[in-house]
Amino acid sequence: MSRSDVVIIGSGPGGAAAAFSLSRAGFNVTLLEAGPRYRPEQDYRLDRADWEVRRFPHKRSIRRRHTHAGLQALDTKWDTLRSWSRAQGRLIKGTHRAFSQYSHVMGVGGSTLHYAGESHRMHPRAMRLHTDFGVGADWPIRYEDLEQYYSEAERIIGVAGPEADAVRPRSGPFPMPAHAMSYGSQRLGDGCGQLGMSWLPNPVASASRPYDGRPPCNYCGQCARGCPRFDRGTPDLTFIPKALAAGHCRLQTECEVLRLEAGPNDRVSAAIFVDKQGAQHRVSADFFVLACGAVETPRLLLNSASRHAPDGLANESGLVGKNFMETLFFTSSALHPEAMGSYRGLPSDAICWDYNAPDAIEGVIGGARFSPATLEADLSGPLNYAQRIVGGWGEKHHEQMLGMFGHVLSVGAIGENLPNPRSYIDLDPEEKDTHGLAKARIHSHLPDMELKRLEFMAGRCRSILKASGAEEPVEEYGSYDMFNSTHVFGTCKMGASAGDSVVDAQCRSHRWRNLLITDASVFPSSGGGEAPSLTIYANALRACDRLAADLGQQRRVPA
Amino acid sequence: MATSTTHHEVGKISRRVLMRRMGLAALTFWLPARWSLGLASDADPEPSAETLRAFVDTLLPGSDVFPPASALGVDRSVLEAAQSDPGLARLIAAGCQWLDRAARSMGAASFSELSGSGRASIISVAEHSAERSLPWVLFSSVRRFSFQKYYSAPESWGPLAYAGPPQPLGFPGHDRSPKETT
Ligand SMILES: Cc1cc2nc3c(=O)[nH]c(=O)nc-3n(C[C@H](O)[C@H](O)[C@H](O)COP(=O)(O)OP(=O)(O)OC[C@H]3O[C@@H](n4cnc5c(N)ncnc54)[C@H](O)[C@@H]3O)c2cc1C
Ligand code: SF4
Repeated sequence: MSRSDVVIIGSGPGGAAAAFSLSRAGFNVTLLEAGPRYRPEQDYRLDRADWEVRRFPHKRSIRRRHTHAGLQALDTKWDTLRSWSRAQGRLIKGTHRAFSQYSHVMGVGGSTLHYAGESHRMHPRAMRLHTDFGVGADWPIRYEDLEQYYSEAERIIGVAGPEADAVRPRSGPFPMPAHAMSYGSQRLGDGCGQLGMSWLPNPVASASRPYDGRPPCNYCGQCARGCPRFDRGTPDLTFIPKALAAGHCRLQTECEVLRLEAGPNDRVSAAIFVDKQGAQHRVSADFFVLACGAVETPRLLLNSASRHAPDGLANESGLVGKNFMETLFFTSSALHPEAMGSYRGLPSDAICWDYNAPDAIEGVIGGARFSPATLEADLSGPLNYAQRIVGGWGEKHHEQMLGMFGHVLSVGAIGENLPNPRSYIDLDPEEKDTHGLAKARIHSHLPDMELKRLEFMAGRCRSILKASGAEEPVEEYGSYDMFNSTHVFGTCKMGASAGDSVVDAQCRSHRWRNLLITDASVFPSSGGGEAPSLTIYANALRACDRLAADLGQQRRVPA
Repeated sequence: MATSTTHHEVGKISRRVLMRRMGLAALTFWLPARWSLGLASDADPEPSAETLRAFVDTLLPGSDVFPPASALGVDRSVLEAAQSDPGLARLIAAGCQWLDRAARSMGAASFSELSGSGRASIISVAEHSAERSLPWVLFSSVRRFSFQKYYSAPESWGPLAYAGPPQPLGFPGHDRSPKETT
């Protein structure tokens, strides 16, 4: 058996920022990651002629770890929200909402390895939904509590963004100037202008100039397939090397934690993990930080039920797995008469925040934001156009390829997803993984409030396209008829009261005081479409800073 | 190239007439399981390379600007893939037989001997056949595979002014009209 001051489980944003913060404070940290390391130059082969056939090169299957319960029946009154494409017709043929995927990566850096790098701060009012609007839950902290950590995270991952933000006060400018918008995004901006909507550069963790040893982005547009250029500030290139450089952190890859052991005195005593060769190990520590993502974190806690914690570890409130919030999204694509070369540029280089505040959309609570959606639409090269937009075959197919390739503009919206009792994670009573552990089972339901917000989002996406001159719709898809989540939250809610939350404002379990959770599971609300990773980093830095302070161990070394 | 040495000019033929001639209305479903479970007879024939070439070149024909699929080795790639996939090999062999039979019902010696419009009529029948029937599976699988191979070849990118692959150069002029950068 080995021993550390702190064991951190999961190396995505939540685990990586915790490892950095605690090793900088002088703790001996063991960082256990179930997935392998990715080697950008070998694994992300965007230089190959057949690059487009390949998606992100997952090294560990992500699908064998969860199942899903049946999803809701579709209702003709929401037919305008159905997913369809010009070449394939309706994408979901059945009578019920279909489960597409919970999209994540197991590897050093977690799901950011195929992310677009959007780096957003929460709208301060989206953190007070219950008090101000009577829905969802409040955060037990304020925007001001996160601000200094937002700035620190932006510096470490290297965010390029615009100058002013009236809604989200900043203590300093972005570390890098904003990227130039792609030609297609500029045309979408023209459309927004006509509709009286704003359209600003989106803050992203991709270098707009050489930064911290990283080259600038060259606008290849393929972040979702993995960035081979080392310019994108994912944790494997930022927080983790800095944590390792501090000299107190040991990263163990392909080590999957099977359960946490609950000891007497309300303390977690050890993590049991299995290594690449299948050998089991037990590691004990003073503190355990859990950051496996909002589906795997509750799964691990529920699979750690024991005599001391019969309903699952840290589940005294019964809320582990509850309040699951998914990605409420809609993406619309349409043909522009002019060649846009719209596969070029950072995938999400612009944003409209006009409807992001919780009360910005008439008739519903919870906001949304709008961006170019080239990553989501994946109209990234000739093959995708041929198969999904042009279709057909023969001379006509070729003629249409000439007229359509690079002409499609895509706009996506992501909105608030309010928690509801029918959306949660539990353990599948039947399906087990290769270790004999119950898989996580995803339950998802979208009540009418969500669908109304989605209807607004779809309408705005279409209006933006039309106003931009992209008049012929070619493909649309969204959450109404398919579960497809990249941002997930809420399954170990943070809150002031032990009866109504899993962890306290410092991300520590109310009962198991040496257990912290620092991933997006702790988010009490999703925000009105903000991308979550920057808030995950900031919140993890804050919680770990507080832990270090509490323990009187401020042995800081320079970052 | 087979597609340019057409001997039989068969005029446009309606899908309904061709289906009747082929007896397609009564064709039993060709379940994919049949080939993946190895239930096909040992006597499955070799695929006809000529027929397959004519097939992919009708799906993706050559023009003033685009090369035909066979010039980019698409038909050879299908045959190579079939070598390591017995299910695919059986599909291609049975599918080529079906194409040739359809061509014979139109008075040609084989599919590759037909005119472009004759071949197109047969492919259109395959495209609109019942899901999971042999012609439909043949059409869907070979079309999908051919598109993948064809558009993974830089020779197909020129006419589209596509300056890929995305790396190592990226798209430095991404903020300008493609007209200005190509
Ligand atoms: C296509 C796509 C695009 C996205 N774009 C953006 C974007 O632009 N901006 C943004 O902010 N967010 C984006 N996201 C979302 C973002 O990636 C996630 O919100 C974020 O990575 C979540 O961080 P996390 O730490 O909660 O979990 P994760 O990043 O999922 O990390 C969890 C880690 O824990 C490991 N793990 C799980 N179980 C165990 C175990 N039992 N033992 C050991 N290790 C374990 C996993 O292998 C994984 O590496 C995107 C996501 C996707 C899929
Ligand atoms: S667009 Fe930039 S950040 Fe994204 S993969 Fe390409 S080079 Fe990397």
